[in-house]
Amino acid sequence: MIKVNSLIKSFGHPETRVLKNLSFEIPQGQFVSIWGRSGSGKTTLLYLLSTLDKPTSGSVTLNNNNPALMNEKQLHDFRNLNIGFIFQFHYLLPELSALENVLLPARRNNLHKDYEPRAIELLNEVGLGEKTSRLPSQLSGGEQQRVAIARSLIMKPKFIFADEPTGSLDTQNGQKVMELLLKAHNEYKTTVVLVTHEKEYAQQAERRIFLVDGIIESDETKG
Amino acid sequence: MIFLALRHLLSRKKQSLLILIGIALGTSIFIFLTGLQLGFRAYMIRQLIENDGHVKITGRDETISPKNIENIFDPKQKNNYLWVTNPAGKRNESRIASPFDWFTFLSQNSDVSGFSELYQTQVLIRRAGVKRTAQLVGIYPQRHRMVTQLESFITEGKLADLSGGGPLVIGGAELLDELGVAVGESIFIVGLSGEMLPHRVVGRFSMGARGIDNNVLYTHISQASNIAGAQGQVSQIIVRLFDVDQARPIADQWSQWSVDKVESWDQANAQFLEVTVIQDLTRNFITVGIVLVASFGIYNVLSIIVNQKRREIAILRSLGYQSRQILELFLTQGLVLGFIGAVLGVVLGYLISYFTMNYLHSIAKSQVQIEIDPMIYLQGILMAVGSSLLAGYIPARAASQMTPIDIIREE
Ligand SMILES: Nc1ncnc2c1ncn2[C@@H]1O[C@H](COP(=O)(O)OP(=O)(O)O)[C@@H](O)[C@H]1O
Ligand SMILES: [Mg+2]
Repeated sequence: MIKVNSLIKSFGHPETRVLKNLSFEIPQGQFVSIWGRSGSGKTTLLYLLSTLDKPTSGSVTLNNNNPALMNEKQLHDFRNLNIGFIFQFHYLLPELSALENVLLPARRNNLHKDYEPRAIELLNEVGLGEKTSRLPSQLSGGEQQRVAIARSLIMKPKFIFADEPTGSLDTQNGQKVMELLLKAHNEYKTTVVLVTHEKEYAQQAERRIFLVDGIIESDETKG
Repeated sequence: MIFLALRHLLSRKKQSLLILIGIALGTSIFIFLTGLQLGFRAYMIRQLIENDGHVKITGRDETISPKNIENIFDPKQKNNYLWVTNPAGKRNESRIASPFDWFTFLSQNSDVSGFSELYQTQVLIRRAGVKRTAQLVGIYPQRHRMVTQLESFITEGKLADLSGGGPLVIGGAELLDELGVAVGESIFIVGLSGEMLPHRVVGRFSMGARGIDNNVLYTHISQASNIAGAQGQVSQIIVRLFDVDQARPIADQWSQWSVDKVESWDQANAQFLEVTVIQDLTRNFITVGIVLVASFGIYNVLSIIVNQKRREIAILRSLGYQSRQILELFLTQGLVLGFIGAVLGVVLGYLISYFTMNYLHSIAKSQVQIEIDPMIYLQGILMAVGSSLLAGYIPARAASQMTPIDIIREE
């Protein structure tokens, strides 16, 4: 469960408020999309929800943990075990194979050997069972994003945060990524927060938060 | 993080290789240069010690006055003569005041491994048309070879040939060549009253030191003092100690209670040792230069790598890698480069030293050794690894301080 309380985020001098006093909750296991036009503050909100950034005022808690109050070790342990990230530009390490990329979170704790079967299974699930030893440069954009999805799932995180994961993909590949996210959500009961500016993807989530200029314009849950 | 560090290095083979070459070259130059200098110095010192012993006792330079030369006259006639002009100047040959006290002392001293007294005098030599002066050094061959390396420099004949005494000499190679005399032939030494004393050349030595090779004749001590009319006199005692490092304190101690001049080998060669200080300075200077260049190279390349890897740093941080681990990631790269470079450099340095030495020995018959002291190699490795660590630290630290959000926002 994610709790957002009077969240404000401002940048620069003179200060411009990007997020203007947001309060909402995301129950455990929900698939939420945050959508809105470019510049509406989606990415800023996602970073705040996902421990990457700290609020100017207000608070964000994940299962009652406030990342703004954690020390470096606690924060990174928390990220490693509880959060999976998927970015628009897939962000794989170019010198590692698909499998090694998926195992990176486990390698942090020297558990990459133990997690190898699961990593292979995940790569199978995203349709890359034959390409586990390929380098990112030997994979297509869609395939790279699927590796990133597998990597975000490796530690069985409670939360997945995805920022425009379909942004750089064509419709077919974008839809495939979307389906994988939905499947992971169904299988592992993971809370998924998906940021997108494309309505077609936003609509596939069970809840849709519509952001306009840093304010929640609408918040709809499928009946 | 070693796994990732190695992958990083392998993914930019050319850059890594360039740094490796830089470090290896730097290290090998250090090793070669240090080995060469220390080897040359050790050689020189060995020469000095082996020829002059560890401690050298000589008579003090005396000024001549009517009083201290009156013993050349018959004591009974003491009052029957008068100086027209008082004798003055310095004695030509300084001699030790009471050599027998020294012999007793030295033979009982537990620091002393051996000693050999000698008598040396300037003589005039003739051979056919050639006439020149030389230093005639009278020694006890058996004792002399215990305290110096003279024997090993003898290229024809042997030191023991002088043992019986008599008119036999072993000459410096250049001196003999100048006189045009071969081993087995004879020269004339001009005696006190101008008589020509034939001496047979029984051997030939070459020390590689010009001042000695073209100036010195060795003979038995009795022969040398006979020619000079100075029977029983000793001009020098060469002492060999068990521990050469004690030479200086021992010489200082002895000279305090002796009228004679007592010098350790390093005191006697202070000038040469001053040169070695300058050599040390030069070498350290070059070493610092090499370290700076290598460090700068590592610093540069790692800075570039860090910059190119910003995005990866952001991912690693978002996956839970802490800043300490990012620091490790890049520091490890510096360390790996430094260590492999150092090992290559040490091997290269050894090979250069080895082949240069062979080459020197083959063309010049020189006995200079290039020092292959493990300490130099250890120093080289430590220097290379240390400077790569230091040089890597700055970019690595910069990388570790980047937060993922800063990196992502920059794009
Ligand atoms: N670090 C920053 N400094 C200043 N302004 C920022 C910063 N990050 C985002 N903004 C501004 O906040 C607004 C929202 O940005 P962002 O959250 O990226 O929007 P979205 O993801 O919806 O396109 C934009 O006007 C952007 O210029
Ligand atoms: Mg955005």
